[in-house]
Amino acid sequence: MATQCENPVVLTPAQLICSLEQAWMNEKFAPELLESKSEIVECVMEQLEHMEENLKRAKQGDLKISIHRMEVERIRYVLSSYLRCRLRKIEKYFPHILEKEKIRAEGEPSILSPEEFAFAKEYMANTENHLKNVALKHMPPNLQKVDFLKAVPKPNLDSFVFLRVKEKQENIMVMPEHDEQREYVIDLDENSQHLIRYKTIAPLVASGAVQLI
Amino acid sequence: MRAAGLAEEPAPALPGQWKAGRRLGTLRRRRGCSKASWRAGVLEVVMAQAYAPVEAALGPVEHFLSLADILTLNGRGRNWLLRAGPNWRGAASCVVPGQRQAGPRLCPEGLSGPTGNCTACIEAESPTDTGSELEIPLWLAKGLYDKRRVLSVELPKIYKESWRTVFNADANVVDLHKLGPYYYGFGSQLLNFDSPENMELAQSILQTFIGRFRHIMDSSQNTFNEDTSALVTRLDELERALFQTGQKGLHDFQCWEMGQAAQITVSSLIQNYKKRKFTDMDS
Amino acid sequence: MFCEKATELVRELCRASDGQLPAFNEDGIRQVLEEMKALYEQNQIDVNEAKSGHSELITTIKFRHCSLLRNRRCIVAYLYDRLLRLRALRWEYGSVLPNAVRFHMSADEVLWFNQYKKSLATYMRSLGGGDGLDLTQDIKPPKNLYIEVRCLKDYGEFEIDDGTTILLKKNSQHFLPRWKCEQLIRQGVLEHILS
Repeated sequence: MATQCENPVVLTPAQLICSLEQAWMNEKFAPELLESKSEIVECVMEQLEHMEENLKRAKQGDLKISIHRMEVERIRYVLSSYLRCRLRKIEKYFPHILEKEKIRAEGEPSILSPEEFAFAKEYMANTENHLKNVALKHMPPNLQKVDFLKAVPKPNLDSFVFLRVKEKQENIMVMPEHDEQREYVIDLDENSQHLIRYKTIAPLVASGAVQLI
Repeated sequence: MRAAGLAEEPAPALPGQWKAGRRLGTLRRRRGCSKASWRAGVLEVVMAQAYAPVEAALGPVEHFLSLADILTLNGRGRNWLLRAGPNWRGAASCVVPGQRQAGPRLCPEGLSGPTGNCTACIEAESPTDTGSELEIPLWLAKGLYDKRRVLSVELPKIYKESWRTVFNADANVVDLHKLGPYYYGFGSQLLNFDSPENMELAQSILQTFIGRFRHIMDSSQNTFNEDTSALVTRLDELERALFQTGQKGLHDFQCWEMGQAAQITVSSLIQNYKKRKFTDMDS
Repeated sequence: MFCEKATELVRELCRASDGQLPAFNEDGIRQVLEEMKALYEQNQIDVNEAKSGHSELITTIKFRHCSLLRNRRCIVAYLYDRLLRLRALRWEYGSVLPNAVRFHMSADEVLWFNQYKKSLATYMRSLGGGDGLDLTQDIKPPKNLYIEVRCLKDYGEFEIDDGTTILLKKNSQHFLPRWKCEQLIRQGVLEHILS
């Protein structure tokens, strides 16, 4: 099985699906694009293929077949939905995502899979070309460049998200919401649920300490 | 990462984990995150609106590509006054392209009212007087406004003190669509002009929103399959979007309760195309 | 009035708020570009005069420049929003668009659309080892493997999973694999009946 991790973590299929589901929900509810979970995606794809093959080999008319087939459909739905959600964010925020990729330090994990990166670059080039050919190149010389980083809105990191705490956190700094308030710190107890500004807990989503719900 | 124990058995470990929720259209686990995955499923349906325009910005900033922001910035001549300051003097010659005329004449067709008539046209001899008042769209005022104080800005009447008092008394009685329709967007943009009344203006906009929000939220969450047009016509564009989001949420929730969330439906975009084809044929 | 044409382009799209694609307004774009050219040339002249001492021209120059920026913004936003609509069409209709839609696209938009299709297909093929994963399917969470559908129009022969074909005739009812009919339901050929 293809694996990029240096220390392969052995997961049962159930754990694998669980981690897919967590990645899926985090991606759905986070305003920005999260780090790519390509290894999960790859494993799930392989898992699906195995299941499909097993289904083909199975005896016709076996009642278990339809249960397994349903299982395949469900997993495929979650996987598609997850990837679709990412693609949508890539299209929506492409200049910012590509910029982040450009200034990424050596060794820091990419938020894009290689395939998503290729897609994002093509999307940007295609869109730039289109605007240039139809309009910008016919405009006065000082107006032919549009800075996509300024033109395309950034993800709104101030939006609020629901979360459940998986690992207890202490001393989380919360920024004031209005002028009369000062910043303050909170503790997040395990299994407690919160509604909070995404920006405040973004690193905890990335580390897996909290789960967006 | 490695998924173990796959090849040998026909994936027995997986099915046990799931259970087809009785009326849940989405994946439902025995324990844990069933509600959240329901929300994720609903969100998918919302996202399934394949066309999502660039949203309008909030506050005094703009989104360059947002159509709504562009129209907000178009302002409305009748609400909008520009008071030419001392540096305006002698500043303008006729700016109609191709017909440049000598002399200090400001007859820009560019500075006209909503009908396209040159409502603010200032006649040849007196264009440059300090204190001339012009009605110009907000985008232009924003562009011309700078440190040299070429212009100062007079608040449109609905943002002035007399109207602010009305809003403060009961924000719910006001027809913001008639007065707006981008009451909040336009008002926030006015904060860019360092008016001495900025503080009161910002407070008033915020209080108006707070005062009206409750009613909008309640009605969007409690009117199902009813005619809401009487309410909606009086809402500002931002409020309408809010109301519709609430209605969509209610609708999706009702669908889920009736077990229809898993129903695959015709794409609304395609359906609208079909409708239009019929009306085209009719006409 | 300056920028009226450009604003009109934007209004045109706002009127079709559900995401339909109005006809590409080539003439409108051309007129705005012409207005921009005129504004620019006039400004070039005035800039030179301002440099030679006519500083009273500065506000006029600035006014024209604002109009130029405004025009550009409207055009770019118009084109960009149309791309978002084209994107939506790819996801809703699949890769082949009906004529009614295609007639409303400009030649350059067809190019953009084809390139988008290609990028998307490359991406989806790259997923997994075999044929890839079609992300435009499985839009809603599955509940059953097979679903009851009613045919809303004469569609003709339709191949199902195991190689057999059935005839989709108007008002006929079928019990079909869900993943096979999803696209046809979204396109309004079939209707999903809940039992």
